[in-house]
Amino acid sequence: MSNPETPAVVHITVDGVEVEAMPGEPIIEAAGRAGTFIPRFCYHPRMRAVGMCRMCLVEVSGPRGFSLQPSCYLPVTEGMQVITKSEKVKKAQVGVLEFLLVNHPLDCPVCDKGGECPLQDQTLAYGPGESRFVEEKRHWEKPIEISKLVLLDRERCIQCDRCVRFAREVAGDPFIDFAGRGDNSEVSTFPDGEFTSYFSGNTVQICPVGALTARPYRFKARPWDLEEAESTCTACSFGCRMAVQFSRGEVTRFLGIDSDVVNNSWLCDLGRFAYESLDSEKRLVEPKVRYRSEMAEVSWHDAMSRVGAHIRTFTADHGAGSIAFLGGAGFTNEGIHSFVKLAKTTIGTSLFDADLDGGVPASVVFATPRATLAEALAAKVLVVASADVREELPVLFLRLNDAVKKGLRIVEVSEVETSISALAAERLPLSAARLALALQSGGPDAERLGAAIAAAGEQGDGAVFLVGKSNIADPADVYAALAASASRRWPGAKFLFGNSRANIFGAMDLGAVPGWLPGRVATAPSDDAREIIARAADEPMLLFLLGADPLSEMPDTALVKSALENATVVLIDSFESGAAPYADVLLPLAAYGETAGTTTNFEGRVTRLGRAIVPKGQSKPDYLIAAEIGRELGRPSGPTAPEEIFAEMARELPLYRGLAYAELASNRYPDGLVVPLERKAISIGARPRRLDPIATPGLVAPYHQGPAKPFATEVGAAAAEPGAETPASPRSQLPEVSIDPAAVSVAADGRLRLLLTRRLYRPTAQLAAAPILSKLTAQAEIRVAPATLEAIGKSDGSEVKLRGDHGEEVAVVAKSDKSLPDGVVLGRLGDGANLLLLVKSGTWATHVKVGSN
Amino acid sequence: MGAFSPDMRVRAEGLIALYPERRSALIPLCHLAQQEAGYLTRPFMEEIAELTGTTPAEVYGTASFYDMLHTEPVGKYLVGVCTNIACLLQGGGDLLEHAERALGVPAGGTTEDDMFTLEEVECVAHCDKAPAVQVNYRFFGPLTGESFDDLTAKLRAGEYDGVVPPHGTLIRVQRENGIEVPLDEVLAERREMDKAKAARKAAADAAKAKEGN
Amino acid sequence: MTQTDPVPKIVTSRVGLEESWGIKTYLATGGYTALRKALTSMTPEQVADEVSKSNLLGRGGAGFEVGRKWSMLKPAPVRYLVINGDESEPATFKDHMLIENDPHQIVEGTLISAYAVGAARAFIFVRGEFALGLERLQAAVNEAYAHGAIGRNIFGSGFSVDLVVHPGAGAYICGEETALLESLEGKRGFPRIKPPYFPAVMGLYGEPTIVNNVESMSNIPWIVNNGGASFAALGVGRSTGTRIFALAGHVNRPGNYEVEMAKLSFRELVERPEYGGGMRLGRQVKAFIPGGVSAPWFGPDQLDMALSQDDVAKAGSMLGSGSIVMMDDHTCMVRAAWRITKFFWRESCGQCTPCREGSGWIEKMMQRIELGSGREADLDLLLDACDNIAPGLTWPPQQTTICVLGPSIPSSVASAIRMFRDEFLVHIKEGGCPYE
Ligand SMILES: Cc1cc2nc3c(=O)[nH]c(=O)nc-3n(C[C@H](O)[C@H](O)[C@H](O)COP(=O)(O)O)c2cc1C
Ligand code: SF4
Ligand code: FES
Repeated sequence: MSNPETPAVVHITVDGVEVEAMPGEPIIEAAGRAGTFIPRFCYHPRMRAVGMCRMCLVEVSGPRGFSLQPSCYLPVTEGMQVITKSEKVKKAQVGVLEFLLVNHPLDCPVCDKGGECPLQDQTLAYGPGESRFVEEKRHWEKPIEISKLVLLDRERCIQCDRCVRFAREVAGDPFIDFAGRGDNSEVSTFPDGEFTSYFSGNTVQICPVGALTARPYRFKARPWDLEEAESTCTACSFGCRMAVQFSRGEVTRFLGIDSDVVNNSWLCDLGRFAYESLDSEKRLVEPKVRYRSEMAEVSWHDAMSRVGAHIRTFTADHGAGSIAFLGGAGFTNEGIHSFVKLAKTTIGTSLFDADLDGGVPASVVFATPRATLAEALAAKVLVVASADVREELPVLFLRLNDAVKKGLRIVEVSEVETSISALAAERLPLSAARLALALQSGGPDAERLGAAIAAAGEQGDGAVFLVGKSNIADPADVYAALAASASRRWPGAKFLFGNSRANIFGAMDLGAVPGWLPGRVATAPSDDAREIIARAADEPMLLFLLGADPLSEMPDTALVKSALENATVVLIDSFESGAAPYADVLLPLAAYGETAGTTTNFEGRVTRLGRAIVPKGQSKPDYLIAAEIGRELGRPSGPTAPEEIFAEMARELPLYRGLAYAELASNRYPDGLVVPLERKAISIGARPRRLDPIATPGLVAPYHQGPAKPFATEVGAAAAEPGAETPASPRSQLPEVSIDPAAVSVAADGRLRLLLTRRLYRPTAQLAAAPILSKLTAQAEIRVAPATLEAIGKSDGSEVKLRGDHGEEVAVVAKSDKSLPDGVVLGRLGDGANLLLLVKSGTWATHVKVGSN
Repeated sequence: MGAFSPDMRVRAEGLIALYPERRSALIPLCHLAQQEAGYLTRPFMEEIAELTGTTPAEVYGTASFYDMLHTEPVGKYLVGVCTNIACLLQGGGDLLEHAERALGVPAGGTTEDDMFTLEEVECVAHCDKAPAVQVNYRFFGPLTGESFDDLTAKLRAGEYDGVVPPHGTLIRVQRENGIEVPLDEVLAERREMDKAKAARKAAADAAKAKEGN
Repeated sequence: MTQTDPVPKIVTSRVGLEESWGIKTYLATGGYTALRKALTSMTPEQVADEVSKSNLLGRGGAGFEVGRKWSMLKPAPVRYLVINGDESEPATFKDHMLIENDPHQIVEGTLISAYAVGAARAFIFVRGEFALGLERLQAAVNEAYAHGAIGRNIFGSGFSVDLVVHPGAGAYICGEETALLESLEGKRGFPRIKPPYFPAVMGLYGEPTIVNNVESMSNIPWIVNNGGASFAALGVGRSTGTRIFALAGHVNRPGNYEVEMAKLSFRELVERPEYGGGMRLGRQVKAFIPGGVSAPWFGPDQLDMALSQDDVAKAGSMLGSGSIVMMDDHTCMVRAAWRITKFFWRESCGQCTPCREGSGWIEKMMQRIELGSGREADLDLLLDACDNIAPGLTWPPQQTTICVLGPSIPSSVASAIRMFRDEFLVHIKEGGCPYE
């Protein structure tokens, strides 16, 4: 540490043994690292200590001798002596446990937490042998629903304040609080209100008793039956580390793993409860092909014959350039790699685009220095010019919320208020296009951004930018131009990108985007998804849809529809998406948890996916489907297991050099590695996983949790790996992208510019297949400034009609929003109205007219 | 439309202005809401959340911590009989039993005509007049069963109107002044004060040092 | 032991005067002269110095020297002064009386203190149930603004400060200074965890804050007018000045009596005609509580102890909030201790397990014994449960909790069992209360 007044370590003794501790850390952490576990309930390593449960009392030396102190709260000081095992401490522990049981029902056999309950476990280990309590316990009405997902049994609550603290401090959603006083307190929502938070499931995960339970998990399994596979969530590209727990061939729940570098143990509810859809009736589990107008279940063999015949026919009749692959951003790296090889080598087409909605393109992603999440959070200033982070990369929002409290300054560039606005030190109300133009031409808006960055004590070069597509109606060029011009202006600044599809960055790295070959190798440009769709509307094409649904993911619905109608479609998916009716062949894809492999998050972090159960029905993993098609085409069979495919990637692509499949989930690299590996020593994994069984009860110590190590030990680095040369990273040139001034044009005659955004619970085939989660599906709506509604004589919440420039019409619910500027309509995608219909391919800005009918 | 009447909304904003942070006004605003509605209705809690930058759940959670804030309706007169130690020693327990019988409701209950809600309360700091009773926080004591009945009869008959306002009205004297000196102005003044203080200290130290020489 | 003659009435001098709460009476009796003196002829250090010299001990319960507390204030541009008028310790009714009868004296003391500590704003937190007190104090503040005693450039001295009267809403725990600050911030009244041990380091809105009691403040004008030394000349040892004792229970004349500190004994206070006037119906003292229900009890053999903070502490209890509850020989000790436990159970804020659950458990056991279903083993169980809240059952207590409400729970139960075990056994054997 640079400050000479703060020593780097302080020395304390725990039960007579000398222990090194970090200045300011609580006794409980220092003792835990030294191997002395102090029992606890309210303490959670990711939240402010409150010292309420008093289970962690230990004897601590002070000016007036030893006294009982809460070790979760009291910070270590030089020379402090701590006793954790004296008679006095034991009596306090017995006392607290006995008190806790005074009002706690002894219904362990029917409690969901039974078997993984910190109260049960610690009572056994530290508690009184028998209960001396003969009085009547407090009674509450049995479980109450505090949200669609979470139930609360107040009788079991031990008032540890974890859920309330989480809601208030971590999620910033204080929709639950304690009500009442003393032993009559209960955790409560506003009467008749709901705990509406995208993160509510975390409260279930951290509850140290069975008070909070998740509706999707209730009574599904007993913990002692559970097995576990460590994995990474693929609901978005943030890549939360999580444990997939399963029992007898069924996934029973997901739990967040406490990864320092990624998710700090949190998950969003969409990711956490995604398993609900796995054994849904709506899963696609048999191959199907179209006979006349009917889809019929067939064998894989027959389905492959049909696929093979299509490929041969199209190649013969129209050339390989008539075959295109769309999607794949939800696949494993191994699956993507296999499909890219199939497309680009075996079939010989360059038409492959995993990025359906045109986020920031690979050309910019590869040409700008990428920040890791840790770097972004530790920066002085983070410029966020992206879609609402809470909607698109939910757990990133939690990390930013935390980082802001620790000193990160956020400068937001957004026309409309987002969840980040409340965290931001400053918001520049500019559209992405306007900022991009300003950065290119150096207008006053660019100066404003410079000044905002400087206000954080940063000249700009140390800044980190998060650039993402904040308006789905915009073309990708806007965002390419924005990032490229920012990088030119601040050459030392680092970037993260908000493209949120699960493995979109893996897809870029593996050449599943136009203009790129595997390993970030540039090649001749080719058509992107938008252009492919436009072509398919006109010419004969064979379209492979890789877990993608252009209808719900791409603008210009009319065009997409005619393309799908016109083209021959092979759909590879786990669910029957909106594109299914147009398919000629449906191939069932193994779902999450049914396949191993790796995935790459938005930092470029490659982590392992855990395989927990066998694929449902006839479905197969992505890489096997690619292999089957290859075989059908007579390609000699290559590797067919994920670890073999990964080895091939590491061998053939410099980008992955130095990586080994087995290492990725090892004790050394429990949270994977960011590619390409840097040549200098890295400290990823330097802090071993926290060994706190009470933090996430029910997490079977993830395999890789090794014994506790002293925090100071740096784990060795990639530099030691032989052959870890710099990968062929094309830091060539940032693309020159020009923006048409039409992108910032103001429409005349009362038309308003349309700004389209997505929400977390966007309607997808997978969400529809989840019985409880689907109840949360977002409804489409628009928001406009109050004056806009008044002008057409409509009230807040009534239906209005939007008319596009080309005659398209959409009826949608309109809400009045004071925070919105005049001149824009904020459209939020969802069920009930298709706003994508209004966007025309190839336009720089979409304008609509708001009418009463 | 908000829950507060326009007049009260002005008063509410005046209360908020007294504090460096809005949330500090939460409890005074709850009192104000009770003055309008007799208890804290949900619309009031929602408006208080909006006024103080909190959520309705936090307003509810906070209000429910406090005995004087009621999130369910209470009678026109909240009758609190103290049974804590000083009153207990002077018959407070018996008085409560009498009150329960006389009003026909157990402690915590409200009479059918919504006139009285009976409460067993903790010490109301009138121990020299034990056993003490408070009606809408106006004190009576020492009371016997007989004088208790007399009191409730008079309350029913309206003889205390004006003396004991209906439940909810706590403070009838309003603050006449806002904050006269804005915080940053005061802080500038304090900085000057501190500077002067430091100068005096330096002078004194110097004088001492001289003396020492 | 005799009092200085005549004993000056320092804080209760106006009680009983006509409209003692109005500014007319206040000005006519020397009101606001101390404020003017302090602001126009003294530096803040000189004011603080006089208060230090007076050795005024805080009157809120903990008895900490006011001057020393002020000197611990962490230097910072923003600092606050908060006056504690939450008085809810059972059988304590002195602050209530001061607020209703001499609100201007509190306002004046507060303003002088704000000057001495350089507070940016002052708040007087008044227990919500004190409706009349709140009205009179607010009226006094209004009058003081009009008189130029609060606000901008007070009395032309160049010193400005605003003062806000803040009503509580009914929760005993808000008397604990950190819970009070939480409540003043609009939150649930949860005491804050220590360290930091003092609001003087981190208080209201995280800024250094002085919290003092209403009676403590009421002494300040007199000290400024008469000098700290004259205050210190009264009383004995560390117990200087006068103090109000709230005498309640089985005495003929319950009430608030301002007497010189440490000069009288409990017995004199109880028996002298101008004070308690003896025990009701001439009965005998069975036990008494010397300083609020948080304090361990004393028996008749301790009646001759002086009303001195240190003497009482040495004997294992405290003068605390200045409330003395006398219990005669017709009192059921089980019932008395049960009722006090019930109070703590109802008032525990609920944060700490031992306090939240222990209070309820002990209350249930005490109730069971009083109502006749006790078992002999309950007595040891009670003591052990008490011991689990306050290990060793010593005074001042060892704490397993965030604030001292927790370890105050055992005071009465443990006292009652220790002093009157036989009486418990009678309840248990006879299956009910012998005093019914
Ligand atoms: C549970 C509890 C209740 C308290 N109640 C009061 C109270 O009602 N009034 C009060 O002035 N101090 C009360 N105190 C003491 C305060 O915490 C604080 O010490 C006091 O207000 C400081 O003022 P002083 O130094 O002028 O005495 C209480 C303390 C505790 C632990
Ligand atoms: S000791 Fe009791 S009152 Fe004090 S903080 Fe703990 S639970 Fe609350
Ligand atoms: S008080 Fe320390 S873990 Fe709860």
